[in-house]
Amino acid sequence: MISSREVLVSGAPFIHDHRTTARSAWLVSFMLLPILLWETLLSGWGTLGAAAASISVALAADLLQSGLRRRFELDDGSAFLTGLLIALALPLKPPLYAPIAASAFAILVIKGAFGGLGNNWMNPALGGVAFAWLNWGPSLAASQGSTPASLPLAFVSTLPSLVSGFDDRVTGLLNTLLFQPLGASLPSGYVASMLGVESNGTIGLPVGLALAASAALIGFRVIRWQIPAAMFLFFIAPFWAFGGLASSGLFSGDVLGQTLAGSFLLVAFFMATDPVTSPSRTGQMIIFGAGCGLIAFLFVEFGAPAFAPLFGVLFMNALMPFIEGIRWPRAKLGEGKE
Amino acid sequence: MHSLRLEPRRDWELLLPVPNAYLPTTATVPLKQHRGKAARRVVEVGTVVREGMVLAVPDGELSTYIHSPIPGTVRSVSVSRLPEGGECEAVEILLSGSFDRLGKRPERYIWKGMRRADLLQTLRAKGVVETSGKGMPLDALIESKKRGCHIVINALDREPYLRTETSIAESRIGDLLDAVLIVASLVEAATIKIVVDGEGPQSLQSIETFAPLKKDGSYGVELVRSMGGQNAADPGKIRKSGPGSESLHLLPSTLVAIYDAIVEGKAFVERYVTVAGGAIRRPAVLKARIGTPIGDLIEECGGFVESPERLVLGGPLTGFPALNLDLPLTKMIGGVLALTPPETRRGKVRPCIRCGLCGEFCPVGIDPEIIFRDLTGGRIVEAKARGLGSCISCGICSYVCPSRIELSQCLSAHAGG
Repeated sequence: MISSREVLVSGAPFIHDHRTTARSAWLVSFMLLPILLWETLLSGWGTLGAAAASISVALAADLLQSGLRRRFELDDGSAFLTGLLIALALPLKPPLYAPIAASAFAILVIKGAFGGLGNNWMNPALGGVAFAWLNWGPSLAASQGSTPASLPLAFVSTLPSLVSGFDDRVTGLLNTLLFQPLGASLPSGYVASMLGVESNGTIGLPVGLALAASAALIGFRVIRWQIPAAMFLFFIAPFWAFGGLASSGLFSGDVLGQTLAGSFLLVAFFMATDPVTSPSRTGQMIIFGAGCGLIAFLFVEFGAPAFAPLFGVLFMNALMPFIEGIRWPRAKLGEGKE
Repeated sequence: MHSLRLEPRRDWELLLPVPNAYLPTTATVPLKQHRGKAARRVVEVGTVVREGMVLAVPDGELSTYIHSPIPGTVRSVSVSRLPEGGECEAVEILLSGSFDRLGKRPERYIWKGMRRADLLQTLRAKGVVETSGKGMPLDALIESKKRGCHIVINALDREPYLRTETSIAESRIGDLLDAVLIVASLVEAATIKIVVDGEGPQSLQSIETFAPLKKDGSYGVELVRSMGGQNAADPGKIRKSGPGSESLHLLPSTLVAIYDAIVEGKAFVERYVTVAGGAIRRPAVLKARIGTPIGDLIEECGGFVESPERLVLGGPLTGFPALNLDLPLTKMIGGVLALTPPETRRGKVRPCIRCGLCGEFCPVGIDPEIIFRDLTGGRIVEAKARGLGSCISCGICSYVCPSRIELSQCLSAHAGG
């Protein structure tokens, strides 16, 4: 029989989909964790330390901002995700004040001041990272080329060189089998960057892991493909055409080098797709993504490449009210199909 | 706009023909079983009633005759709380005496010779109402339709768990087709469209099943396989696309009530009901008397396996919450569901993250999220301008909302009738 402890009387519907806001946020964090662990493996404890700092500051700040509104929201996973994204988007071994300040700014100012989750007009992690770059750009840039040092485990000290050797062999194989017959050739370094080793021997984002996480999350329908797809397309096309103008002429931009450069991937897949700050209708998503890509191109071409993808998305975040004003009437009942 | 596919949750064996539920020892018959006004009681405490005897007569808009589902004595007249809210008088009957119909051979009236007015009067006198929507008395419903309108028979269950309509269509196809012909003659139907579940029982998939309708010759008969058999978006499509008097939508449960009233002379005192959900030991479709406490029905299905989190009258998306097990079965209730936590998947209500799922799946193409914001901000005019009025309370926005915001509850409360 029904116990008296609880009789629920709220109205229909009585069943719900399995998707929840919190589960989606935790799932994204879960998919991003391998990236952090791999980076730590390659570049040392400092990376994990910086991430721990940004995540714990994000959690503490969120406890504060939600506590001020007499709520408890840590379990929704969004603060953890913000901290993790900030750690991944900043250089691997930044001066510790950068991730700490970025997380605090992201949660307290961008998220908290506007009323908490769902009310911010830009993605908190994106804003936090931009905040850090604008304040401490030179020192962050200086820390960017993290070299493989002080590895946590002795046996992996050879990993970066192994990866480089692996890159040579795979690139050679691909060139012989695939690209030479087509009259092209793949420069070395891309295969290594899939595993997080840059061409100059420094450690960066393991692009392969990031792409795998993105694909999985698109598969789980946690992130939608339209925004990153449009962003890539509208960045790649102009950059391919004009990006190499100064050095090698039209249609010679190093497209892969630009888009696989860490932050572009993270921004396109994990920050531009934040549901709170991006549209949800297909047409609007494509306009939004295209704008992000085009503005990122302009920044790469004429301004600060380090900020390019960040500012592309920030700019479009600010345009959201206009983008959401562009509407196509949805199919209505009794029209269309029948 | 995407249509939503819900897990059908019908992985239990259906017994055909549908078994009769035990008669309740006490039947509680509310005098208001659907929208409109309550019927006026014509029995007193102590009145000895027979099966099918009139307990209450129509008293105003949408109200209809209410009959005694069992023979016995009126034990009390109480005030009963309605699942959809509000209260009404209810007559409680203690079972006793002999049965006039149970176990006897049914009578068969030859309806073809009857005049239209007599048929309508019979439907009215037997308390037949449409078993979906507003529960409009059938005679009034038919008279509101244009001569030469289209009949649509929805021979499928559109919400998860429920198998009521499909089981009727499967087990009483002959009676159902007779009833279709009765209605078709009443409205002089132009066409008859039968919508079946494309994944449902094979017996309903073939046009041969509906051949008797074609034999009559004067109607165009069409069989539509709805591949969204479980597509809860469809009730809206059906309800809204039937513009006023042009088409008449009927469910098998309404049709067999018509058959029972016209051909067998029976009052609307029993109906088919699905008893299911994860907390029910042996889910089943039963044919039960109006007024049977839902607890009796659940008992007959083996009782609870575990304590249910929600008790539902009707479907899981559009039904009503049941407060206790004494609530009686009424003419409008096609399902009694006892749902467990893994089924309801309730969760903490969180802020809207503007994911847009509610708008993506809304069958009438409105943006529940934005309208909800308007409503909670007191901007009723803006909400109406954004299409609040077209909300059909299908429940889908609340179903998909990952933040578990009660969108549908809020919108339908404001959308009105």
